[in-house]
Amino acid sequence: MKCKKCDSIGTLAIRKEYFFCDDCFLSYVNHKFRACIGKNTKIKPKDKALLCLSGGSSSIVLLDLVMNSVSLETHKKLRITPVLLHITGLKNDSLNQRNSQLLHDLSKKYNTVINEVNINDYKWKNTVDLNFCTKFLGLTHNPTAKLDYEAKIKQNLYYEVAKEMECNLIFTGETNTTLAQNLLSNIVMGRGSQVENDIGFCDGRNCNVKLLRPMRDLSVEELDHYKRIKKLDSVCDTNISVNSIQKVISNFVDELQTNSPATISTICKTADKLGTAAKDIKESQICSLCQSNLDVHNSKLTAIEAISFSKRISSGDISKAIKICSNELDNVESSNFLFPDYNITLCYCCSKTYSELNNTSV
Amino acid sequence: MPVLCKTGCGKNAVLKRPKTGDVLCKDCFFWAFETEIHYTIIKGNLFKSGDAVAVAASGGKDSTVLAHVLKTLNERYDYGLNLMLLSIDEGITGYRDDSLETVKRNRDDYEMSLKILSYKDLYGWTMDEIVEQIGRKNNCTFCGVFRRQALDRGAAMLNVKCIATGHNADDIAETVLMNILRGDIARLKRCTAISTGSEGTIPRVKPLKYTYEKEIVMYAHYKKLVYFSTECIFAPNAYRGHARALLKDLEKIRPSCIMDIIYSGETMAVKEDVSLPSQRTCSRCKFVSSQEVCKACVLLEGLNKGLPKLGIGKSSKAKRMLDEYHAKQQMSIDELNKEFQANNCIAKGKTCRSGGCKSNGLISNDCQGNKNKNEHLNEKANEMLTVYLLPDDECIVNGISPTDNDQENFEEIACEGSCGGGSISIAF
Ligand SMILES: [Zn+2]
Ligand SMILES: [Zn+2]
Ligand SMILES: [Zn+2]
Repeated sequence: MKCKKCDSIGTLAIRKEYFFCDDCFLSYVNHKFRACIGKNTKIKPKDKALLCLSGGSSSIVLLDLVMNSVSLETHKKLRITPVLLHITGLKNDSLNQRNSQLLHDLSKKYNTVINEVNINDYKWKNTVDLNFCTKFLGLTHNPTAKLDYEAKIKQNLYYEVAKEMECNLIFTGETNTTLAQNLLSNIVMGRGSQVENDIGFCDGRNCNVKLLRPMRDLSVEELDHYKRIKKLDSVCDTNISVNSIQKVISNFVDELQTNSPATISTICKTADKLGTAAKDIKESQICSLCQSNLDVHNSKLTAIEAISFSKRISSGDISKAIKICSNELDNVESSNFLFPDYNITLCYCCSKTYSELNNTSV
Repeated sequence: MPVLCKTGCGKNAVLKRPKTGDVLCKDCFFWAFETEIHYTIIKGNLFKSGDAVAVAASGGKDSTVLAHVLKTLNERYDYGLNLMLLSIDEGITGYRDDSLETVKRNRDDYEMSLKILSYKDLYGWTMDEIVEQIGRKNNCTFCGVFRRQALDRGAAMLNVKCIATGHNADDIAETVLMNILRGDIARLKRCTAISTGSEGTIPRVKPLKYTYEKEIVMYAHYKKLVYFSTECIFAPNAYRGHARALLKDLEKIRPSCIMDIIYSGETMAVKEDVSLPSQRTCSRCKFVSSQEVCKACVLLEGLNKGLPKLGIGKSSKAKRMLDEYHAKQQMSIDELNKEFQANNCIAKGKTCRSGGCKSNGLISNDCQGNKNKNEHLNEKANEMLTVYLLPDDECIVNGISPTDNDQENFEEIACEGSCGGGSISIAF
């Protein structure tokens, strides 16, 4: 039970495999964090980074790691100016209150301030119809679509705030566990072509601001030890509703985390190898909700054409269906049968989310 | 109160389509089901007029429905295809012999020719005999690897242009999830392709790629098609089991997720800087392989040498196992020969009793004579196995074992019919 690094007595075990003493563990986590930034991007002096904080475990640890790194006086100092952001309005009032309080206390401790933005008050500039935003908490008929929409809106908000605060970087706190969940959710929701930006270290969809995920090599287990040693509090930041795709996946990943943590890193490694199938992406239009490319494949026949054909045929549009089969009618037109906005302003998944949220009668 | 069919045909609806949620009458469902497969065939450019096409027939629901629909569409839309059935007899008592009876009925009902190839003929082993050797683990590996190649061999014998398999949308979605869980990038890329096959091989096409499993069951039910519905008696591997369970849970919440997962697979690609194993031909059997010697040949070699676990896992380990096996065998042979020579002085020139061996009495590698010694060798091999054994299904049940190797994962295809589909509940 000796520490892997220094031979003193180990105080904690990682994956039941090896041991660390507290000091070596903290420097190990810090090293992983810095290495992740170091090997993936070049930090330039004057870089200003927006830290997106929810009050949950990973955001608390992210904040601690960044604040410690920027206050160093050695050559290891992280030369960025951090700007703290907390988005409110996503949870009920008492939860919001608790998260805000915690983040206020913490920012005082680090001698800085936290900026709060309520998602419902924000003036939307680029995004689609944002009437939804004002009724976030009211939307409960389709938890899957709501969570998907919420994630995209939050991301848009990060970029808007970053622009306003003149930040050229955004740091978010996804751990490898969260990213494994996000990868599976992406796949299951049809966002396979967006994996690179949604799960990779760097989201490059916005050309002025880069979104980075410096916590991606850390696991939930490691965060828990870090918080315990440093006596950091956190609040619960998940609000995944029961009957949703995201909840099923999060349960599945939790089980993997317990029984087979190596699979989590296998999944994350898989994500690093995936890109999009589209060849000429420079010409592509951008989805106005998730900012992904709209042209994502080169093939005449994908699941979208197939499902759209099925919908057409089972609503009795037989003459057109026959014309499509004999190539008299175009695929593009048949795709639009599915969602009115598909391929015009929204990608397939955003179209679906949008139409499911609009369709309150179901 | 009866609900009217969504198409407006005026008849009463009898079912709700799992794929779209629409309520349809029987006739409109048949028409929709068949026309969608027609659409897939046309848009996917699966066949050319005049092609000879082998339908991989297991006797299960997927391949039975596939044969039926292909025959129907071939006549209705004048594809000009020469359709025939190709069946593989794995030699699983109580499973395959019954399902082959079903395939024979398909042959008579659809008036197609039928070719049955057995594992015994192709490889010298039935699945029953293989199971006797390896126990009830990893059966899916053997079965999948052998079946894949058996179909290629059969198609070559029949001289067809392509093989149509009964993989449905659920199978494909499940395979996407499975390949993500085990980090198998190469197969992740391949598994959503509607038509696969590299140069020099006979392409496989999946006309049921966008067809829901539940609708296949409904179609077979209303058409009163005869199929064999017992599931394969062997359990699928742990990854597939995990993926299947996950998909069933997801489908309950959002039935469209099956198509969405396929769409994800179709629209993502492996980044250019990631190297993938290239496909080539096996140096022994000349069929497709990602390595020098194909998985089927490695597994077969293992079986024939009494090292049945050979090839289940990393190929580097397989090679080491084989090398050690050969080294030990050589050592034992040397020992035997020494012993023989020592005994020979007393026994005065008795020759080897095996009959097959006409050597001067020394036991050579080819000599199968000394049964006892061979058993002894097997024991040693088994000892070795406990050292080199990779975690197999039993160990992975509660969590999936780490495999970071893209090339060395074993071949895995959804055994059509054999292991397909868990329990199916249909909401009418
Ligand atoms: Zn989008
Ligand atoms: Zn009807
Ligand atoms: Zn071979």
